[in-house]
Parts: sequence; C-alpha cells; structure tokens
Amino acid sequence: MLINGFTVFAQILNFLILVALLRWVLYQPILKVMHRRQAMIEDRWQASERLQAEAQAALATYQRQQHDLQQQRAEWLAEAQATADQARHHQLAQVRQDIADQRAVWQADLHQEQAAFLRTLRQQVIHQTTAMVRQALGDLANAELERQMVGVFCDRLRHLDPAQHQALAQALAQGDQPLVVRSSFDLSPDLRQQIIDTLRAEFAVTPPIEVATAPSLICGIDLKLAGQEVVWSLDTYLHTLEQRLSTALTHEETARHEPHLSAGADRLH
Amino acid sequence: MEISPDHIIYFARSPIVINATLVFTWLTMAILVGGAAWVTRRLSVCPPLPPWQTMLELLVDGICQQIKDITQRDPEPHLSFVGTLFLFIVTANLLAVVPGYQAPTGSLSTTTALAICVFVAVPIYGIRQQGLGRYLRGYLEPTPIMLPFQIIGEFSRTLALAVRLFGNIMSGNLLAAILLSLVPLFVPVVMQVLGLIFGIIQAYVFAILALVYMASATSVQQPSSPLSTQEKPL
Repeated sequence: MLINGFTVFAQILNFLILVALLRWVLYQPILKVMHRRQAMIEDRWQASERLQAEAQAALATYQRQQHDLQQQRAEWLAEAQATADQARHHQLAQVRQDIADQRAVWQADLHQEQAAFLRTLRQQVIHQTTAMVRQALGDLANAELERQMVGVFCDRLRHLDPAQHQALAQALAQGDQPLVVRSSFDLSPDLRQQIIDTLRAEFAVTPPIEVATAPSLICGIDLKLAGQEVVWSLDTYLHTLEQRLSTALTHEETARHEPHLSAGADRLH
Repeated sequence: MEISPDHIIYFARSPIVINATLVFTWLTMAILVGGAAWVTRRLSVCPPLPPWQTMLELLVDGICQQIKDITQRDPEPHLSFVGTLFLFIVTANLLAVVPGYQAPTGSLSTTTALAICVFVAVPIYGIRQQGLGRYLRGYLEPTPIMLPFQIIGEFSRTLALAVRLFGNIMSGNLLAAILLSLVPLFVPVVMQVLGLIFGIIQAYVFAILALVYMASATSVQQPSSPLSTQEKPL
C-alpha cells in the first residue's frame, strides 16, 4: 500500500505547522521590511517632491525679488541721476551767484578806491591849483586876492539873473533872518562894507549881516538867505575839473577790468 | 529498492509509524525554518542589504508577483499557503540530489497530504471571501445538474495533484537508480540535473495549480466583479 494513513495525517499536521512557522519567521518579517522600505521610499519621494515644490517656489520668489531689485535699482539710479543733475545745476547757479557777488564786491571796492583816489586827487589838485592861482593872482594883480574875489563877488551880485534877483530881493524884504556871508578867509572891514554897499545898491535894504569864515569854501565867497544862495568860488571850477577827471578815470578802469570778469564767467559755463 | 520512503521505517508502535518520509520532512522543515529564522533575525530596511536577505526578499516578492498575476488580487492572504507549498516541495526535490536523502515528495502519503490540504484550503478561501451560501451556490451554477460533476471535479483534481507530484518525483528517483545500475558513469549525473529541473518544475506546477484552484473557487463564486458591475447598466 503506497498510502499510509498515519503518515498522511502526520504530513498534513507537519505542513500546517510549517505554514505557521514560515509565516512567523519568513513571510511576516520579510513583508514587514519590504513594506517599511516601500513606505520609506514613498516618504522620501513625497519629501523630494515637496522639496522640489519648495525649491520651485523659492526660485520664483527669488526671481521676482531679483526683478523687483532691478526695477528698484533702475529707479534709484534715475533718482540719483536727477538729484545729481539738480545738485549740479544748483551748485553751478550758486557759483555763478558767488561770482556775481564777488564781481559786485570787486566793482564796489574798485569804485571806492576810485572815489578815494579821486577825492585825494581832487584835494591835491584843488590845493595845488588854489596855491598856484593864489600865487598867480598875487603876482599878476598886484593886489590882495581877497579883494579881487570880493570884487568879483560883488560884480556877480550886480549881474544876477532876474529870477534869482527877485527871489533874493523878497528874502531881504522879509528881514526876519540874518544874511550870512561866508568866505574862505577873514573879511576885512572895508571888504565887508563893500559887500554891504553892493547889497544896498542892488536891493535898497541894509540887512543884518553875519560874516563867517568857512575853510570848506576853497578860495571863494557865498551868500545865503532863506534858501537863496549866491556863490563864487574856485570850488565850482574845481568841481568841473573833478567831474572830467572822474569820467576819464572811470572809463579807463572799466575798460581795464571787463575782460578779466568776462573770462572768469566763461570758465564756469 | 524501495519505491516510497514510507517503507523505510525507523520506529513503529501501532498506530504510530516513524518512517523516512516523516523524518526527512522534519529535516526539510528544520532547514526551511532554521534558515529563514537565521536570515530574518536581523533584517535591514535601508541598503546595503545582506545577500541572504536579498535572496529571501526576491523569493517572497517573486511568489507574491506570481500570486498577484494569477489572482489579480492582494497576494498576502495566499502567500503563506502557496509559498509554503512551493518552498517545501522545491526544497525537498532539490535535496534529493544529496546522497542518502529521501525526498518526502516521493511519498504518495506526502503528496496526498498536500493535495488534501489544497482540497480543504480551496473551500476555506472561497467561504472566507464569499461566504458559505454564495460558495455553495457556486456548485449549482450554471445549472444544478452540474453538481455531481463539480464534486467529481474537486476530488479528481485533488487526486491528480497528488499522483502527478508523486509520479514525477518517484519516477525520477527510480529512473536515476535504474540508470545508475546500468550505466554508472555520466548518465546518472545528467539524470540528476534533469531531476533538479523536474523537481523545480513540479514544485512550481503544484503551487500554481493549487493557486489556480483557490483563485477559481473565489472568482467563480464572485458574481459581481468590478468589471461586471460596470457592465450591468449597459
């Protein structure tokens, strides 16, 4: 008999035991390890996908930030360029203004120096001229200079223009103010009387006369009454000389300084 | 010469008979369980994997793939039964080349026991998945007239399983013994190599047939598969 009942039963039992043992020591551990490995691989795959998504998002963010930075850089450059241009124009205008101010100061100083020089020159010319005239009159007329000047002054009183003569007559007629006669030298009594006689002859009055010495009158005599004035002085002639000299010097100084100022202004442009 | 290892008796006290079939079955079981326990005592999840672990993973994964290809379902419920069938038979057949080893699969008692296990496992898997009523109704389909033929078919295929494996292994061993006596050089070696190939093929055939029986029992008894459910409204 090829089949033994006990052996069959024992083999069935052996096989069932083998199934249980292999399930315990082989299939479950191997499947557990394979499932854990698969889960780990899936986790890593998901993590890598998540990291890739994060990297893509970060890349997009960085690209956007780079674009924004480039735009901001361009705006900053344009703003800096505009500010620099504005500052350049402002400083250029400031420099021009400074040059103009400096030029005005130079011109003012020049005018002051010119005026001072002219004053000094005028004083010297007047003094020298007065001295020469005084000496010339003394040498030529053989008379006192004061007497000649009083003579000339009295002659001027006698030849006043009608309007001035009338105004002076009205002032003398009122008689409430003294008649002031100033001269650059002390008038002697006879010269003072000569002036009084001339006034009486011309205006038919004998006013109270105050005689004073005024050194500022350079070699001259004047008469003042209520705003009216009759003057003869070398100062008039010297003023004319002074004006002519001043005009001549001004033209000379202007012609000498203009090229330098124009050249300085051109360099700033 | 013994035609079956059942006839090599080491201990007998009625009704217990300890023969070569049982002894070499225990030896095979010890090799399988001991080897598996030795390999799986320290498994690694992350590479590098030990070579023996890689081999066992390839083996288990291959069995799972075969089960999945045939059943088109999750292979784990069938893995223990079908995998153990294959591993036991193939181990026993491969160890047959070892001198003195008596392959338990060369015993009709062993193959009958394995076939009975398959015979019992088929309705168990079918009832577990479909329920008792639906499984039993499967024997009445397509018509109740087929019931006797269905029952005959169950028994006949169990018998075929047992006799096929026994016949192949027994004939291989017998042929090798006969050739060894006639032509002692070279030819027996070739026949042993062919026996190894036949042993592996027979193990594969036995396990696949068992799986096909179980899969057919569950699929035939399952009238509403996902595909048929979708096709019904049409």
